[in-house]
Amino acid sequence: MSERRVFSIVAASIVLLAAGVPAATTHAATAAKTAPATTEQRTGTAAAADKDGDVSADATRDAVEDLEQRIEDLERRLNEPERHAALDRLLFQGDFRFEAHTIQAKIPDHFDGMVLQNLIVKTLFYFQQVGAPPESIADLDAQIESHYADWLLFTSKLTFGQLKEAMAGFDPALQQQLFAMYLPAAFVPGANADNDILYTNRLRLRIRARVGDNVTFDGRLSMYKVWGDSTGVRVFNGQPTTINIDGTTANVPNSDILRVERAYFSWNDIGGLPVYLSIGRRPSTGGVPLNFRHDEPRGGTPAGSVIDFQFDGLTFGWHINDFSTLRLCYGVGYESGFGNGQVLKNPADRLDDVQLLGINWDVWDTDDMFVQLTVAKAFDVTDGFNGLVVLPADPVTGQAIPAPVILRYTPSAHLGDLDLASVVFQRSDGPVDWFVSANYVESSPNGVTTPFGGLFSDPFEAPQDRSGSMFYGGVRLRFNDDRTKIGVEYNHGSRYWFNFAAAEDEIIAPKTQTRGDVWEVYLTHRIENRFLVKLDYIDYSYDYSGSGWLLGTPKDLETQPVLGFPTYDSARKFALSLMARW
Amino acid sequence: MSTGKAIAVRALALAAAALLAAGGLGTALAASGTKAQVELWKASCRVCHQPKGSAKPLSPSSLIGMQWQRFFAKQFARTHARLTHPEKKRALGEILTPEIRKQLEKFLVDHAADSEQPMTCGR
Repeated sequence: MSERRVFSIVAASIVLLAAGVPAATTHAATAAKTAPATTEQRTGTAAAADKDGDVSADATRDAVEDLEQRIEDLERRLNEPERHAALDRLLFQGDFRFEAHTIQAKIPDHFDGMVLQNLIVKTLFYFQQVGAPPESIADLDAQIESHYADWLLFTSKLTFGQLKEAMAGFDPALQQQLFAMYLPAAFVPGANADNDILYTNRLRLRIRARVGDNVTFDGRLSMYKVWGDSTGVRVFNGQPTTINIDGTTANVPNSDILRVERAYFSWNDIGGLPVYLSIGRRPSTGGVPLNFRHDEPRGGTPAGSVIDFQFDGLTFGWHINDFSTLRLCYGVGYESGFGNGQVLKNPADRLDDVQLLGINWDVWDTDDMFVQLTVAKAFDVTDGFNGLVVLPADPVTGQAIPAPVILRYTPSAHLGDLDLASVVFQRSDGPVDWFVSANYVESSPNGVTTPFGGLFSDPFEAPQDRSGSMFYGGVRLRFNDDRTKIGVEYNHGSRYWFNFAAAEDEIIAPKTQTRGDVWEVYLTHRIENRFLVKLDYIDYSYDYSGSGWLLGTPKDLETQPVLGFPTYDSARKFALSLMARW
Repeated sequence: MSTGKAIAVRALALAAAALLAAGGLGTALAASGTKAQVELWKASCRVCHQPKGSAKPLSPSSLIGMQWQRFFAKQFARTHARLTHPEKKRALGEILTPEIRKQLEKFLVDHAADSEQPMTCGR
């Protein structure tokens, strides 16, 4: 209101100052025809008004109308600078979120795969030295102690290929006998893995710019950390999010480093056609329907249930009409020719890039109904992507690595192709938002395995074609003039389910990657329009091991499986979040 | 069936499912609030406020929410009510009843330049 008063005062001043000067604008010119334009005329009219009250009232009314017209004109002219001033600030939007979590998790009874592998390597060494199998684990240790230099030489030269060959040559009866001897030593009883309190801070700064009539830029810088740590690298514990890769740097707690999570331009209406080209670090996280649980608008282009992963690439899109967009998307998951020492290898041993190609179709996109179809293929998938990690054990020998050394992990082999498909259907009916999603994955392995396994197979197995699926549904009720929302979501993933969702926003693990069941109940409330509080409860019940991994055979967790690294069989979390958006 | 063909078949099946889902809810779609609002915006405002139209091109994000509210509360009556709709040949003040203006205002405020907006490419 104070702005309007200022406008009025300014406008009135201009009218007085401009008296006698021809009006500059059309409105002013029009007004001049109906209102006194000069001081003399005003004085004359006023004099007339002194004699005749009606004339005076008309003149006053005319003057007021004239003033209103001029104020109107000024306001219209001020719209642009006012908006510009507002957007100068809004071009640098952002949000900050604080979260407090209480986590209760359980690790099931299992056998430590790294311990077993270590015993097998020791057995190979023992065989070479003694020419017969050991009668006990003590025999192995005694042999190593007495020939420690030979042991060091043996392990330093041992390759995964040799180990695989030796394993294949083991007599099955002897294998069974040795496993019976080794398994008790590798048994790990079930245990809790609780974290009473875990705090996180997340800062996201969005930058938008209108580059030209048809070109826009959008970017986001993000910092996400837990309280009390800024090392940026984690000790690997079997969870896929404990290795830093390109796809998760900004969406898994890392450090106080502000990273470029997104940066891309969109060249719209190319050649006057309803098509666009967008290149850069993609808006590929937080897509529908993962945004509902955060009371956020759609956070990314692809369906969040199948792709929630940062990557670099491009999109060519076609706006079929106002409500439907078809996109062809391309991305690179692993660049082989940069930073991986390719020139140090024989040409035959060098890897190819990992390329991602997809079709993403917003079949119907309005605020109250959204249907999206995604089909994607990952070509020549490697045994992981480049990353930084602290490995607790050597994956070939199973020997514990004595110091928390940061390693740059580089993939070692191509394992095959992955195909993914997804359909998401979402609607808002009155105060209810709801969605359902069906998702599918299929592997086409090339028969290769590495120390971490093959596509859905263990290191010493022959990979098979596998397929998996995941269903996801949710309902959210809006009330209190849409300020308060309460929702419940459920998803179930099958044994061989896998998606590219390692960057999904969940502190325990990406829930849509779960091979099992996940329930989530949440309540969000807007204390102010852009200041939110959220209460969240999430409950994971895992059926199989290796959720989130494309490597390794998923094991039934009720059968005391052999696990390379421990995994949860259940986990639940209570969380309180406060988020300021500006 | 080769893997490629199998994937193509599944993709088509999913596409068909998506289309059926969309088509099957045609009735609901017809009553879809936001589609109606978009159509209303196009028929009422964009008909003139477009690149080759008789008035300055506008989109919902041309103004911030407060400016749209001010337009409907203060400016519409004086600046637009007496204008003639180019197709319907009637005054906008007659065509855009208070109820319709309320719907338009909600749509425009919800999608104004300072509203929370999706972060996707191509828009």
